[in-house]
Amino acid sequence: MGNTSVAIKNNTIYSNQAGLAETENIVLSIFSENKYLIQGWYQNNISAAIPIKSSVIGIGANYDGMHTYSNKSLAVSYSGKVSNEIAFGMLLKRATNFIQDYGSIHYYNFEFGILAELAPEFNLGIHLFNPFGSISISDNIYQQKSIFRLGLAYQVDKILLLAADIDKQIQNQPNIKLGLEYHPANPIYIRIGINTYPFNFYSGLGLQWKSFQWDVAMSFHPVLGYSPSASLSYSFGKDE
Amino acid sequence: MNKFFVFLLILFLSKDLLSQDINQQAIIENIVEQQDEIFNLNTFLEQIDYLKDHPIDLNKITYSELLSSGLLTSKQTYDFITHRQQYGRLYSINELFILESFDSITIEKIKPYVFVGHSTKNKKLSTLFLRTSEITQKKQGYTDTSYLGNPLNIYARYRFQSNKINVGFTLEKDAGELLLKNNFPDFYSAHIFFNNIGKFKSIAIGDYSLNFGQGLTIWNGFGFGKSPDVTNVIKYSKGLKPYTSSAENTFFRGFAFTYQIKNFEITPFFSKNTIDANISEKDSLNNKVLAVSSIQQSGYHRTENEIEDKNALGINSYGTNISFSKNALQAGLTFIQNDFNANINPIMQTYKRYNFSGDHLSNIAFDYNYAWQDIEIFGEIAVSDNGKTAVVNGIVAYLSSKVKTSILYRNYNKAYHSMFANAFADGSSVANETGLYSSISINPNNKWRINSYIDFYMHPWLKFQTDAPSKGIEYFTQIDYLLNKTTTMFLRYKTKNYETNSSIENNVELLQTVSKKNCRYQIIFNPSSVIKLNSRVDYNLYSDEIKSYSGYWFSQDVVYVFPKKRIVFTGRIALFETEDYHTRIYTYEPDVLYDFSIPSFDGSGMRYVVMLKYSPVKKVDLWFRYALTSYSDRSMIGTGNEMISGNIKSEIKLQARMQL
Repeated sequence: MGNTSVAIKNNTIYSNQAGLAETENIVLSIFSENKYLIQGWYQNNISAAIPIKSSVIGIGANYDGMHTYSNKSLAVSYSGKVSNEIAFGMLLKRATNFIQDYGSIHYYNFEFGILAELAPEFNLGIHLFNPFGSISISDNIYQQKSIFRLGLAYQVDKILLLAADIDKQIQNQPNIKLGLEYHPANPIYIRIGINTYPFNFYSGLGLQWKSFQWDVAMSFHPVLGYSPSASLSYSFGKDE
Repeated sequence: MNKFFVFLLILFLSKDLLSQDINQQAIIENIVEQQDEIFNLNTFLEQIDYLKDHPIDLNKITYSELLSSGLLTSKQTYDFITHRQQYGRLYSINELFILESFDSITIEKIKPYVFVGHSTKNKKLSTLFLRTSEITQKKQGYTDTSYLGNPLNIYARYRFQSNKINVGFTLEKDAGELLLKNNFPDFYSAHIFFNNIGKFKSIAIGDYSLNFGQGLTIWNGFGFGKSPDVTNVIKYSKGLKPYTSSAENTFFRGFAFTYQIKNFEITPFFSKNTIDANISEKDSLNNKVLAVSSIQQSGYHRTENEIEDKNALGINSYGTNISFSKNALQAGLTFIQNDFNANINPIMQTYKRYNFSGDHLSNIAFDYNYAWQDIEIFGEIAVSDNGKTAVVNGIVAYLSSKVKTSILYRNYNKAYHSMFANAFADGSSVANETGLYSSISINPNNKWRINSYIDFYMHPWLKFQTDAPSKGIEYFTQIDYLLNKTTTMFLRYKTKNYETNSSIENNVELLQTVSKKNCRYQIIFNPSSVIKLNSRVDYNLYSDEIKSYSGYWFSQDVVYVFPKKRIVFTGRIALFETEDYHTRIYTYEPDVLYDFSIPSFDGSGMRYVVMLKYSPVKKVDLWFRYALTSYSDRSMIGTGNEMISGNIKSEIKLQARMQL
């Protein structure tokens, strides 16, 4: 859906963590993406969301890169509900940036998100990536720029979901993301999306069968080309 | 009572503890953006709070008093007073349902502020306010000791209010100012104010403020012009009020009263005050100030130069206002004479050619306001002693129950002079401007509201950084959508095209047209009295003949009320990025009660604000506020004495309020 995930409840800790707050069962997810069809360049992650009493704890591991340059991280998240309508989530990540022949830098990052149900069919999401700056562990100081994300999701009816996000990172133009999910019949979901900066076009297909959710997607960058991805998640516990 | 604030406060749903109204903030932001000055707005929030503890007696209040309270529109006021005159006193507020112009929302909203029969509210109120704040980082002015005092801001205020008497004092010291001898603060103000003693409606001893007509002669304190409440362009004069603000240069000090005879109210006043001014000529023998070149508005007395300017000019002001009020007609005549103890001689620059110079200045004005069914007409005409005039006239009309429009025409002569005027204008003074403003407000149903205005204006003479007569146009549109009882959002778009000096050196064309555009989207989600979310995105664009600059602002506010309502947490995180000072973003920030924060941000970085309000016992409230800006584009913040090294600027503030 073009990564328009800020106002949507996803099963993974790698989007707006506030979306996990309503998870009732233990959910395990894996994700893999091959960037621009370049051999060796992948983003893979695995995460689990575990409901404990009225909150949800998440854990995950992520790898992004190739053998010459990579970013690896371990993360833990906490999500809960402040009221019936408002959920929040936060994530603490310990990451390592590795550049061949240069070495590694280790740092901690923090993320925070809120998901608000404005009306039964209308959700508002806010997510802050690195709002307070990274904390470096090694001698070299590593700073990632903060990103502020704001999004709305509108469930038009049982079949159609529309979402729009705006992301702003300092010194980059704002990235406007639009996405659409079409659910013509069980178990099929069809998704398309667009990002403006950098420009990317996304399309995807999802299948939901019993406790499994399986998604494949393809994103297209006008210069760099196609990036296929796939994800699978399994929800332990009773069927919904 | 400012009609804007109370009316808007009431118009939108507001839970008691989370009642900082969004439109109110927008108005204030708009003023600050337009005029680049921070007005001291304490007085208005105080008045609203006051009204809650001293509600209006619907059976006794007069037409003009009810109108100036701001609780009802002029149509509702007119309908109510006419009804009361015809049918006698009310026995229950619910009788208001009979009137067509009153709906259930309005009646619910005004209930806390009015009563019928006997009021059960507190008659006496005694409040002490203490506040201190400090910028954590050391400014250049303290390192090189240009600032003679310490970096603390200190503020104390005491007020006693009852039905008959108001007594109070205010003490304030700004950062960098010295405490005077005996540890007395730099600014002090006191007042004794009587209400309704026989035929005297009010008597003021000490510091007081005056507001008459449409502000062409005397209007102390907050003034407003163009705002998102587009059709509210009429000023309702509040007459004589005690002065309780801490803005150091806009009040009267002396003695005044309002006396009532039948339909007339007479307010003679006398004031002997001093204001800060730049001394240009001094008598070397006795050090007496002979001439000043300009008046200082900042109120700061931190450096030796600023201290020298302090209270340099004495002003004796006296005059009177006579107003007449009968049914829906109000009219007034105002006269003021100001005598200075030195000459005001502005430094001669071409754009100041028509500025005031001399040692005395007087004004006389006539104002009127008449409401008839769905139309209200208003205006004022004023003359200064050099024979030049300022005029404002307008109409506000309900074209239907869903559509309200207003038109305002102003013509302020380039040489019109006044000391205390504050009226509808694009510029910051009541002079050198003619303009036509028209607006429309449409409420197609309960969910949508569209507000729009367009203003054409012209400056017949030069202005600062504008070396020829100039003109401008401003368009504004705001669409409000009430998604449901808990969520409102709006989209706002404003464009201003105006003329200023050309950016190209030695250009044959003296002036260029500059365009400023802003677009804002905001969502407020208030699902319960426990939590409130406010998200906002802004985009600014500034283009002149050479370049274009953009600016962005993203912010998220959270207000959370802990169980038992003892603690209220307010937080904000924001990200801003502006390419140039011209695209700086102004924003209203969460701040402690009665203190205002409307900082502007240019450059790029993050802003964090955290605030806690704690009420340990019923009559005590404590606030703690911490605000920090972290710039990502610089290693020094500010210039001159205000400069801080590093890229972080933070402030700590503490406030206590005690009801004694």
